[in-house]
Amino acid sequence: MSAATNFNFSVIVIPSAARSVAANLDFPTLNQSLSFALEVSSPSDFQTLYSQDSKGGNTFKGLLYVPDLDPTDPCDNHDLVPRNITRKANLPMDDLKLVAYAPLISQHCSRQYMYSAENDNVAAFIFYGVPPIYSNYTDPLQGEEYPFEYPVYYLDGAIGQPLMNKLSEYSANMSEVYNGFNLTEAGYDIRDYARIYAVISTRNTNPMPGLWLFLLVVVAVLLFIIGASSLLMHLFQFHYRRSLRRRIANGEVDLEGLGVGRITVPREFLAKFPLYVYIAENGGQATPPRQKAQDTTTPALPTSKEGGKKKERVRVPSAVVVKEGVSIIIPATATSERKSKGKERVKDKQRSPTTVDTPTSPEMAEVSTSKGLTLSSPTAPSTKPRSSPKTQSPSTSTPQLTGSQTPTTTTSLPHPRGYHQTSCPICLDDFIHQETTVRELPCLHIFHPECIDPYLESQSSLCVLCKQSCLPKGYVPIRLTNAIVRRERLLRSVRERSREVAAATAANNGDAEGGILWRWRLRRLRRQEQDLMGRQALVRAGRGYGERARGGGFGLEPQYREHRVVEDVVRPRWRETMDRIFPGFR
Amino acid sequence: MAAIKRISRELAEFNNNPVAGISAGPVSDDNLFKWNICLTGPQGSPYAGGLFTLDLTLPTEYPFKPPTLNFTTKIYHPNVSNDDKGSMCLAILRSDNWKPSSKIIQVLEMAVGLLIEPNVEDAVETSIADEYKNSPDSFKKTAREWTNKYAK
Repeated sequence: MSAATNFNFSVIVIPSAARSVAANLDFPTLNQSLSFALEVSSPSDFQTLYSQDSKGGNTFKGLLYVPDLDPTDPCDNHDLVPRNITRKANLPMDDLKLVAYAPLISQHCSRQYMYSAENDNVAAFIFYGVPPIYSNYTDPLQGEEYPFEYPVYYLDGAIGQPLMNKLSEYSANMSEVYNGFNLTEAGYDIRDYARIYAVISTRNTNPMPGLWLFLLVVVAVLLFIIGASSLLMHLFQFHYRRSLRRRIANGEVDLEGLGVGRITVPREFLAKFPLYVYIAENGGQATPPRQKAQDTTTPALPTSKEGGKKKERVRVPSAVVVKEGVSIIIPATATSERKSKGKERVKDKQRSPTTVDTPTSPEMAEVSTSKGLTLSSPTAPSTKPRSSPKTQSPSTSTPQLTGSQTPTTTTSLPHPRGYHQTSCPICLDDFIHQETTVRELPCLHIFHPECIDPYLESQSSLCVLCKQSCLPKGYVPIRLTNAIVRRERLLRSVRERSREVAAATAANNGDAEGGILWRWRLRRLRRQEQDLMGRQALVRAGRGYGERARGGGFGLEPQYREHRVVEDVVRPRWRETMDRIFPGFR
Repeated sequence: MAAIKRISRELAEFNNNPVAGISAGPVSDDNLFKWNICLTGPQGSPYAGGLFTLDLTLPTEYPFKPPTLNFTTKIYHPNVSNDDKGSMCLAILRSDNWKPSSKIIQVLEMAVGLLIEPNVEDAVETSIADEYKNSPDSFKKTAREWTNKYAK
């Protein structure tokens, strides 16, 4: 059975000339401002009493009228039915579709109305409820098998009675209907008919609409909850990531200690690690060591080396020349621009080898040029007397002129100390005094650049000897994933917990017995620790060959590899999906 | 290739200064990454008189990555796994402790040292470690038995 969803009443104009356009009732509606229109769509205002239509989705339309009854029938002359109501005789054509309309007065009356409508071309029947003083009767179908084909609807009295009155206003010709004067003034033909036209829309009613609706609501609520919590967790995770990034930048978190996988040294940092000419620890006493261009990348190495040698050869007889651009202990912020500048200067240098000789002063120890390339210092004592004119002494005696950007006198800055290391720990070749170029890492360990550079670039950021990070403090070399955040939080909580436990143990006078809760906490802590260690080991293992094969070698972006290593720690696909929806959920 | 250069160098060094009780060398000339090792059981240990063969595998990243050491001769020792791998647990062979400056010969010397004095803290065979700790006599007895049985 299909239920009505919507009742629409409007006034249409049927031209008097139209005699045969019957079927579709495709007539213009009357100017709405001069007539009336009514839309009933609130489910509480109507009911579907009967309908044979099972599909639904139909609309029943027709001109609204009150079926004729036997003139002697008391139902017909009822107070509720106005005298001048639209009857069948008031309709312009016989073959128009109709919608019958009548008050629900009694069983007898509704029967009479329905039988009468049966003889007319009725699309539907609408009963409306009447005030209780007339009748309490609400069900015209009561008692009997319903013999009619048209659907029957019930309209609430509060809407039904005014509509009945309206119906009485549209029964005569144009000049006599409601607002008739204005209508004819507005150009409507006086001979045309203005009648109320009813359209009833229906839809199929599901036997269990409530259940489906309920399910739908439940699903919607669930989805909402999921969405909201997902959003919340993403927000939280975002916050955690940001705070971790901040803490890393502040140097509070040691990334390597997190075991998040491979962290490498980007080329631009690598290029900033100074290159020196190797000076043995005690070999450099007689002749102050010379220093080499630092901003030289490995490929450029041979040239700079040559340059250094040339320099030296030419320099010996030369006079003192002032060269620009000294900066002292430059923080590692050099850009590639500076690098290229540096190279240019090397060339420049080769063309006109002019260097400055100054005596080595002990306080120069900490001074290393990173920009200037005029770094040769006397190798033979004989050059010393000739060097350092008076004009230069002020600048040399004030090595603390930090990063003077203005061109100043150049100080040649020899490498302050010799090295304990006598050979490269990687290839085991001995360094040759004053000949081998060595790369000095921030931890002051030295290597052949060709040995250490590829390793730092592709394998690790740690010095192979002391395992100290070569990256500047606070540099965040990897993409911080939620997994890293989680690991960091776990590590921190474990650390905090063990501190707590230690404190509590101390307070307990080392009595580890304690209560049940205490023992449980201890166990839990140990388990967490083990879990963490295990996972770290896994990650460490992943840094070996397996990871390399999986990650597709070293050509991959370091970030990508990091990401993989951490996320890859044997997790099923559904967990990853869960993680994407609920980041940080464990 | 850096690794090959370094390994050949170590090999040459070892051949020039052989260490008593240790013989070592690559399996073949074209594969320097696999070494056959022969250790004689150090005097004063329950392994004395035995001849233990080991496999040394060097990773392609050597010396950045540590080598692995496996006993092919069965040995009753807390730090050697009692399975067909016979992997030896040496502290310096763990990747966090490994330094590229460590040489193969040093690793082997450490291994010999471990034969003399097992490291209970780092044991892979905890039951043997417990025995070594609690009843050293029975440990020595079994170790000697095994040496006689497998390493002669």
